[in-house]
Amino acid sequence: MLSETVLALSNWQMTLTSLLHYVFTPLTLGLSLLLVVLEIRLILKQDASLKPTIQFWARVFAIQFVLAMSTRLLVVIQYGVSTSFFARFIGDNFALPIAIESISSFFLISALFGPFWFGWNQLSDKQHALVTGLISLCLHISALWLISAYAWLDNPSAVSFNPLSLRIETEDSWQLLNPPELGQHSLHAIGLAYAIAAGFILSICAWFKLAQPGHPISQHSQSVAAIFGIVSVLALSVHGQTEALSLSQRIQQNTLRGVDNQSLLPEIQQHIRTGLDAYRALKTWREDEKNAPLAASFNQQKADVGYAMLLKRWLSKIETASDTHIRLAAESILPSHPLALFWGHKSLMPMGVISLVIFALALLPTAKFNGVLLSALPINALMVAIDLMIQHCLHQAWLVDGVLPRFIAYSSLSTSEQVLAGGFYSLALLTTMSLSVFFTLHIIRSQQICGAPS
Amino acid sequence: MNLDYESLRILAWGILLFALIGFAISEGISLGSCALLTLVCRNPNERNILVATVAPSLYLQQSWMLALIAFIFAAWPLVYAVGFACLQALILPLVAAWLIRPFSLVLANALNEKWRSTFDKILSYSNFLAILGLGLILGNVIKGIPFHLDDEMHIVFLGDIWALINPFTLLVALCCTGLIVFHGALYLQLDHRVPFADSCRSLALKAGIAFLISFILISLWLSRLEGYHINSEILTQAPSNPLLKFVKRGDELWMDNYQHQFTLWLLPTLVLIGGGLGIWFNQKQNHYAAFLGSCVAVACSVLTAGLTLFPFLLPSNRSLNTSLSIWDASTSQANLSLLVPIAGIAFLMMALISRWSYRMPNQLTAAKPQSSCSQHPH
Repeated sequence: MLSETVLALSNWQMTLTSLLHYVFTPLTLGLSLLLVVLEIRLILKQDASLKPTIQFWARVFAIQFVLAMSTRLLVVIQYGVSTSFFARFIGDNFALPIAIESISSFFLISALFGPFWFGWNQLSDKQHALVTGLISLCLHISALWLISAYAWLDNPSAVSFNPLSLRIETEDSWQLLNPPELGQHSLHAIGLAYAIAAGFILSICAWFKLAQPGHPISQHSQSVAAIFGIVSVLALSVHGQTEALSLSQRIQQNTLRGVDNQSLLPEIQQHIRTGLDAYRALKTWREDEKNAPLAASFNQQKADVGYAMLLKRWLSKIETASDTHIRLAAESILPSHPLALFWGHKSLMPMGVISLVIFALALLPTAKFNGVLLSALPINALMVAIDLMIQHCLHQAWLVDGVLPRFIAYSSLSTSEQVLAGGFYSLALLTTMSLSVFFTLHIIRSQQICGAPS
Repeated sequence: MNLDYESLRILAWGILLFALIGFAISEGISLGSCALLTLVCRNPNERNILVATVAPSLYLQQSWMLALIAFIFAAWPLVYAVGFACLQALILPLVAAWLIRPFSLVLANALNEKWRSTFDKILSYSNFLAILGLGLILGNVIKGIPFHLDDEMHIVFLGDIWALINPFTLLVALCCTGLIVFHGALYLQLDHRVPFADSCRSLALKAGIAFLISFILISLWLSRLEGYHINSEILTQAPSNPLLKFVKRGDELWMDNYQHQFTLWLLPTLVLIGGGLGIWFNQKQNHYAAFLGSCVAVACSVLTAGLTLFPFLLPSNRSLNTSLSIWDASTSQANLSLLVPIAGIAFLMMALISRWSYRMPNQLTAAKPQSSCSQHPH
């Protein structure tokens, strides 16, 4: 069993990588859309004053793009470095949409970035707008593939445990790529992405406007950001929780509604006991593979083997689990700090309203609210951060819902190895994030609005 | 796709080799060119020209690495899990190079000369370390990694970083360094007008010779090195479970495939021919032919390694039976049925698009000095 220190460090490493990736990828989504709108406007209106604004946002986009790509590799590597058991046990099912995305839309984005960034002089306005549009389209397709992969973790379908390979294997690949509630997950994730991107753009516009009223960057970009923001916040508020189906979804719903989950403990314990029976049947069957009744018994109950694995936190031989161990295991999957999660969830609504008001104020042709508009980024960033933390805490127990407890998924590293790895990745991520902030502020402060490229 | 499990595994292995070749050629260009930045460029103008040569296709080259890793994760999850869990210390330099490259090549132009120069040095050294890391990884894959899979298939790494660094792996790292520096130096000369062409030519000659000599030494060593052989019945249609076989280790077993299939000797021969032609054409200043020669050397080096190891993917030198082969480390048949045709087409398209992209530097950027008040977004 891994020490608590290794578990905590592994958790920290995964969380940091994912958090940074989820922050900068949304910015690339939103900024790419903004660039598409501005470049189309340039073509339709033939307004040369738009070009410096477009090139300014292109530089900001390039920084976020660089960081998103950097953290992307770290995310893909982390699953092998930090959670090698997960990668071996079930990871290929999760990786299937990621692999398809990497060899298709991600590659196209990478190929198109060269013409986008270096082709200002050589490509015509229409050609460059086409390249930007394709990048934006591919970014969104990539996002949908990734959302599909993460949505599957919350509701693993179309897979079952194979006792011969001791892995979870796919039964239906097409269903795997189209998990239940993919639409909900997509709407929520894209809505969050646009909200933070719109807040980011609006804050920068407000900063320029405060420095110089009528600044061209604000003039051309503010209304676009405001409309994005309004649409995204409305999408987030319209999207609601569907009828909870699985046990985990009911636990999450209860927590967010402030309902005590203690009433679900007997059901959870029953799942653990069923899983234990399946585990015992599996162990016996591996010694006597011709025993058909044992195989049948295992197949009937194997869906709950993941619940039995919860006992590994206290026992290496889980067959000897007592009622106390089963009770402890059942309690371990309930979210810790339910009050914080409840109030955090409650706070999202007023923050959404404030965000909506800020975006609406941005549409008004008055300079009175410039100071308020500056808060668009902090408010939306806070809203997104709280939402991400809530989701993370609700899924704290399981890496794959009902199948693989998080603590089992981690690699068998020593404390020193985990400290070294965690230290390197933390330093790398924080350094790249600092560089990103540095370059973004450098561009904004220098206000290097380029003239027509030569 | 209604192919049996055995055929799907073979096809997936073929796609893996193809992806490795694409990665080696593409990432080899990035690594080699960036490592040479401080060696061949004598002033900021030359530096800008080198950056203009490499930067437009930077992300495309790097995307081969990501595509390869994602494909291995989806198609060979045990290989992915064991490889990253056990070799992470050697992978760190590659990760560092990946992180630094875009900042240095794409964004650092916005900074003053002093900061740019600092970024350039960091870029150069980190890419050299990454090349060494790649070589050490390859050397360990051939020699065997000290790992074990227990009854419940938890991966246990039985060594440490020092167990991964030994004379054989260091020789492979040297060979890798020679090859990638050779490859990068030849790529940089494709536009013969670049002012650092002479420096690149001289470096390419030295690196090419070092590569050929070290390749010959590795081949001789490999003929004596302990190899691995599956001693039990090979279950090509069975679910993936490495614990169901017996593996033996013995001298000269890596030469088994060459003894059974004589035509395989063509591959190391082509490595030497490709490398030799690359050096010769480099001296004759026929840059395109020289670069093609190095591509042949790179591709055949990958094929040589892959076919020498076949059917193994990651042998274990401590727990022989848990060595991973193509028959017991793959994903499920259902996943392969979907992934193989998609990946087959996609990697081919990637290769074609990559080929087109290498025309980009000449078409997109003018090789001229960077002015202090840039009229370009960067």
